[in-house]
Amino acid sequence: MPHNIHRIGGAQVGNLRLKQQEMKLQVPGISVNLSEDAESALLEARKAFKDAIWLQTHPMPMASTSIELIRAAGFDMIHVPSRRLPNHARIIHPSGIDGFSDENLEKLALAFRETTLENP
Amino acid sequence: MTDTIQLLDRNGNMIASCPVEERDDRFRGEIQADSLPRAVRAVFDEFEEIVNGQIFSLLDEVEDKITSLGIRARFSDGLTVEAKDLQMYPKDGVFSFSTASVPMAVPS
Repeated sequence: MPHNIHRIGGAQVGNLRLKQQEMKLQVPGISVNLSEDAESALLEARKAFKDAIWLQTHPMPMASTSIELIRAAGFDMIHVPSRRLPNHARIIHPSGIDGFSDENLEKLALAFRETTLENP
Repeated sequence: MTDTIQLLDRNGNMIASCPVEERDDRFRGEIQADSLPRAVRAVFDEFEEIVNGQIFSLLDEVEDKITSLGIRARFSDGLTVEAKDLQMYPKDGVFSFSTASVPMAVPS
């Protein structure tokens, strides 16, 4: 199964937690990118935000997974393209905010495989 | 090549004056964000938080707020244009924008 869902910054639980603003979304969730590979995902973000120092930093940990593995971990995903990021998607949980407990996020973290990108 | 531009709010008031250089079809510069009007600073604080926090679900919303600020750039030769796709990171003190193929001012 293709690992075409990517989270910038890696799969540590700390990088998968909901931010305060994401908790207020109609469907709470964290941002991911739908791309053929992690390099393409990171490149899209870097091109969109060329002045974001965080994004331009090398090396960049990336976490990649598939929709099947996300669902096996109890989560789901919706495609929510934005004007600047057409491949933007959101990992969500059937229980909403409550689904993003650290216990559940530890299961989600196991669904990802991590790579470190030097300079795509 | 660099130029010094003034950023103007929708009422034509100067909100910042900064040197910029043109690179990759964008004008980039450094800015002392503490001198920005509070309302303007707040929008870009939000933008920076969204980008740096990877909270991209809120990106369209904050970019609409940026557009609504109606910020323009006045170059040293007096040319004033819309500062399109204005991105500013107040904590990092950097910003950039694009224009519709406005060439850098040629020194006389």
